[in-house]
Amino acid sequence: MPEIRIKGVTKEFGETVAVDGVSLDVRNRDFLTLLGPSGCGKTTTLRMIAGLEEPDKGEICFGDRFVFSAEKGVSLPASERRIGFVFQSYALWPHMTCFENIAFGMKVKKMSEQEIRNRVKELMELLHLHGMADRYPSELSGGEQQRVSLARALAMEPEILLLDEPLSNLDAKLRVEMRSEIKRLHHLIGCTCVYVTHDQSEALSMSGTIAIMNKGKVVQVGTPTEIYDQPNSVFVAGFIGAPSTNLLDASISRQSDGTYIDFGFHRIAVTGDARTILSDPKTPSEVVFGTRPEDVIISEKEMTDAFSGDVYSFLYLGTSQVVEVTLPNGNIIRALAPVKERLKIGQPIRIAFKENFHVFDRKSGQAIV
Amino acid sequence: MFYVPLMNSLTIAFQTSIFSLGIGFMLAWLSVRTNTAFKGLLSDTAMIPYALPSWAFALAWITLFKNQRIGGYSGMLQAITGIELPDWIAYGTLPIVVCLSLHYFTLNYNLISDALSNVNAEIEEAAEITGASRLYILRRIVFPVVTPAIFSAFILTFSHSISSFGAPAFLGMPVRYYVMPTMLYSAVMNRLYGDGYALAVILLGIVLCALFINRKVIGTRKSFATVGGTGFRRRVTELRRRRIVGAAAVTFLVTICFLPLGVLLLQTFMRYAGTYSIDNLTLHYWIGASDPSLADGQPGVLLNPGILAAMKNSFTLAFATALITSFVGILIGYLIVKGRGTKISSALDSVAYAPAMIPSITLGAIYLSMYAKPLGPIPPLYGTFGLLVMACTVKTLPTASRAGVSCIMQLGKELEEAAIVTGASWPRRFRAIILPLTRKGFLSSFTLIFMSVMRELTLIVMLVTTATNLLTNLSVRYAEQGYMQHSDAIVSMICGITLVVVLVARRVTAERVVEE
Repeated sequence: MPEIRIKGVTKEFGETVAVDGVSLDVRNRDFLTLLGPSGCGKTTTLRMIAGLEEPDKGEICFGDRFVFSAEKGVSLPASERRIGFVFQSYALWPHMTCFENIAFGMKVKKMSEQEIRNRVKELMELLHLHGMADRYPSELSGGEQQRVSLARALAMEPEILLLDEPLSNLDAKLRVEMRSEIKRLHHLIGCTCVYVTHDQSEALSMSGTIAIMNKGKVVQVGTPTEIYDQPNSVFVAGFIGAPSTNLLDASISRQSDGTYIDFGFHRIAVTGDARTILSDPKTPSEVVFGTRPEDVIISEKEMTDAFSGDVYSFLYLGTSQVVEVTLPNGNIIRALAPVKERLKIGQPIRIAFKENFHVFDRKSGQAIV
Repeated sequence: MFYVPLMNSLTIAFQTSIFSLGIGFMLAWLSVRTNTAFKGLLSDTAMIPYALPSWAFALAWITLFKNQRIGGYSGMLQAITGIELPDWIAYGTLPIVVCLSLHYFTLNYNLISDALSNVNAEIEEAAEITGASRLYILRRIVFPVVTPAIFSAFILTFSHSISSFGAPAFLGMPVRYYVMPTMLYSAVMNRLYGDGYALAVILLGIVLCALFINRKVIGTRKSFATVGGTGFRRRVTELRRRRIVGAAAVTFLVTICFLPLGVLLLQTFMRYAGTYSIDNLTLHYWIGASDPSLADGQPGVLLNPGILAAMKNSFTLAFATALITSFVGILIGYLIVKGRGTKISSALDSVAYAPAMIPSITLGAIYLSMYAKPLGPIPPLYGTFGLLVMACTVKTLPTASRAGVSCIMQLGKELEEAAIVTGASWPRRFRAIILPLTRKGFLSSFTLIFMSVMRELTLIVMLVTTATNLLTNLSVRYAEQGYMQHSDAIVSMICGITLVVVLVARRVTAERVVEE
């Protein structure tokens, strides 16, 4: 099972640059997710790994095997890359039964009838498709179609499994079920997986590694916790997290008695490592302050280093509630609060930030702290 | 007595279906699956032949390829080059098949290009990954998926062409070459009603058989409806330097549309048919007063009271039918969609679709037999204009109700439900919500029906009388009597009118796309 190494891969469609010099390593047996908003180039990247799209520049290696190199003039067709591909639309052949769909590739490879039958049976058991062999795709539910398309992708024992938003056509409940199904399959089969999605909760819950893409570029690669806890830019901080991260404009004020993050209506003193970095006059002073809703504390009682706001609305989530609060400057921030706080819309409330915050350069969007 | 016409009909229908399918498929493939040059122009011009009546091609064929053996003067080709064509090129199976194919390939083009555009590239990529060859993928994946459309197109062409009257009337009857519809027509004209009705029933039987086979084959459980929602991409073959085939295709289309029209028009300016010289040119057949030495004193078409009356009749008939049927179509569409799932809805759907299964000539025969004498309290309607309106309304009802159904489906039920909540009554909702919002659909259905009634010949040929003559049947009558220039001029007018209507229809549908 090989690792995948992508170096400087670029793809243009006419005027638009869909993928712009992407370099990315996928470890052997890893489950890597390409995550990003629609049109960020993630599907194109996946299709280039598969060999369904030819890059304009760059190299793609599977282990020590070049599958694409613009320089060396190598471009293996998809069928010789030993990959499995799960399409967004499932792409099941409507005129073939479930069995025929799964068996097609093996028939192309001229495997024996007996071998084909055994392998299909095995796959159908693995994917809980008992008794579906003679059904046509139109007679299957969305979830079953999805399983057939997974079985078909696995039929040729691929070394690399590529999945293009495979769950986006399913309803919400099935989507969550299929997540664990795919994760289980990955564990059982142990192939290298590259998974494309725009759904962050899918990415966070399934991946070993996440690569966040934006505007054709990979902007951050890391484990789900790294991505969640240490976003390297305003974009990643804003994209990851539900309810989404609070981003407030602020300036750094360097006083003789300490360094402060100043919101205009309130300022907080910084300590520790953050203080060392932020008090350096070379650090930009115009910043964006980012904090996750779970790191915003609200209370009707007085707290240290707190300021006032008004409750704008609150959304009950079962175990917690999302409270939106209007700040003195008119901005709104979200706080994740325990349900025991009984609130009324419009009531004044005290707000404080935990120390777990991020500071980004307002100009470049890059993380400072 | 029936055997020869039956065989002729089957031969013609079968060959027409094959040729139409061939041409339609190639053009559809070119315009959907390749990056050929002139793609837009190709799909535009591919529609025009369907707007022209198939017998316009037939009339042009005679004008071009007629030989001197029949009817005295010679065709354009012989007059210019001196080559006398054999009978089998001038008349009979070959020219009828060619003329019908030139008309019906557009039907095939439409059905197949729709099917091809619905083939998601992902299902081909999925096969590519397995290592299947390009040819294998075409054979095992792409063709099977569009097979239902190909088969339907074949059957539809077959059942349309077997009951087509015009082309065999122009290209067969002069040499006593009969097919079922022309046999039926001459039987009825010779008052052999029994024979006529027997032929009508046989024809109906053949068409129903064909449609039944189609249903059996297509209606199996492997519905090829596209599975899955998003992730749709279309496959396009790079033609590179061969992109120029698009130009060839467009040239072909333009030629088959405008060459026949040109030939017809040119012929109308010829004082004596078959002589092509400058001093033979005349406007007599358009605006000339009666001249006993030409066409037995028939005045030019624009001064001819009989033809002008027929023109008025044709317009009135097309307008009345289009108005009535489009309105009824929306109403039926509404009832079918709202009642979805109930027995009444599906029954209404079947009834509204039934006329599509009856060959036009048979439908005409049915109306003739039903209304020739009083039917219960109804007085004999034969010879009235109302009968024509009725027959045309029934004939075009399937088109209109299909359009109505899709209109109402697009409308969605929420818009009407929002009006129900306000307490608006049903007539009010229909007038204030349904009708205004379906007006684009209404208009396109109206233009389509207007056009098809304007050029309808097969259905009405046995139902018209001297008082209710239409342009279409007059063109046949003039040709039968040997007044070719008159016939050509009338057909040119019909083609002109339908082409204008098609252009209007395109405007209407184009606007609808913009609005969405």
